[in-house]
Amino acid sequence: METENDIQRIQDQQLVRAILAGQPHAFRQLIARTEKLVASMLFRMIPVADDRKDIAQDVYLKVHQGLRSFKFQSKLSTWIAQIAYNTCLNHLAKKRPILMERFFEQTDDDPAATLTQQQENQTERRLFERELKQTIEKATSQLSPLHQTLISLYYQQEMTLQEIAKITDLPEGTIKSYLFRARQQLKTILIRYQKKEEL
Amino acid sequence: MNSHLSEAQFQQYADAPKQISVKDQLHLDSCSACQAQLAEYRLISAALKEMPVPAFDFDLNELVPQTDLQARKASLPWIAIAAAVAGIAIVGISLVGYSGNIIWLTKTIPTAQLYLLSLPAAALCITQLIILVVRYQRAMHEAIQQKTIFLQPGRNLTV
Ligand SMILES: [Zn+2]
Repeated sequence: METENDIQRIQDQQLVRAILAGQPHAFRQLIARTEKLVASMLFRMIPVADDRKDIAQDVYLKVHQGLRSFKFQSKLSTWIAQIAYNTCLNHLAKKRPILMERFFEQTDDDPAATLTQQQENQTERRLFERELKQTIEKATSQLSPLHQTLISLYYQQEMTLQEIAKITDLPEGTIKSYLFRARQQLKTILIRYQKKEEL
Repeated sequence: MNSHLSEAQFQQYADAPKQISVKDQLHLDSCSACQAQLAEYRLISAALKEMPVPAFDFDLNELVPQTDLQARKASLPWIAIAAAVAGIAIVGISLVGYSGNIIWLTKTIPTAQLYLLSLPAAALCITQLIILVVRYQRAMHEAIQQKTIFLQPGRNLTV
């Protein structure tokens, strides 16, 4: 019986073959299929909005150039995410060294600290689920770019730890502990909000 | 009552409820503190999954136009073919131009010496060709895998 992975691989192979055969719109299809993934990574990794356009272009040119040497050892999307990750790191190292230094930094300061101050005056309001989600979203944006990227790949792109390890070249254990820490920080924020609600 | 669940277990079970063991489920059923903790993490997981996915405000298809890619693909073999034709032409012209000398050479020098000269020359050409192909493949691979991770610590940065 064909597993989900087999079906995925067959689809990937068909698409790559179509692109290499020069079929019109095949590359368009590849872009459509992976654009959200690449965007979610670029938005987390590259804080300077103006840089994202060039990087996105660079990523897809590299994808096109490398397709012939792609051997389907991983999903096409994982491979493209790997190219996107490396292109972003490279860009930061070359063009934005300060941001590069911050990329791997652990966020020791509590992201809740800035948030609670920002929203001090809103305590009267009931904490609806929507508000809570916004709070968590905001808190997430205060995490380090690496933590944000990992969260995005894990929760939004629903990638496995194995796939994320392949993309980022980090050990699975390290990714696990980064995710653990990030969730713990978010829980602290959540509890603080709920306590405020009860006041 | 059993001991409470660990932080790592809460996180794991919030993402994968099916993984909750029978023993832990029994504890959860009877412990409101652990239930509350698990609920917190479930909320967080749900919120993280539902965070809006950002989208580019430009059209990637315009940035990476199909025609450009086709042209790139097409231009490469043409350069290779042109180079090959030029190479063959040069060798051909040389052979014709120096045919007298070559005939004289094959007639005068002993066969062993002829092999001694031509075999290394052929081996050299083949090795060069292999090196060229390998280098091209490696360059392509590096272009994709390329990354620079760590900067030198304490490096002075100018803004
Ligand atoms: Zn308990």
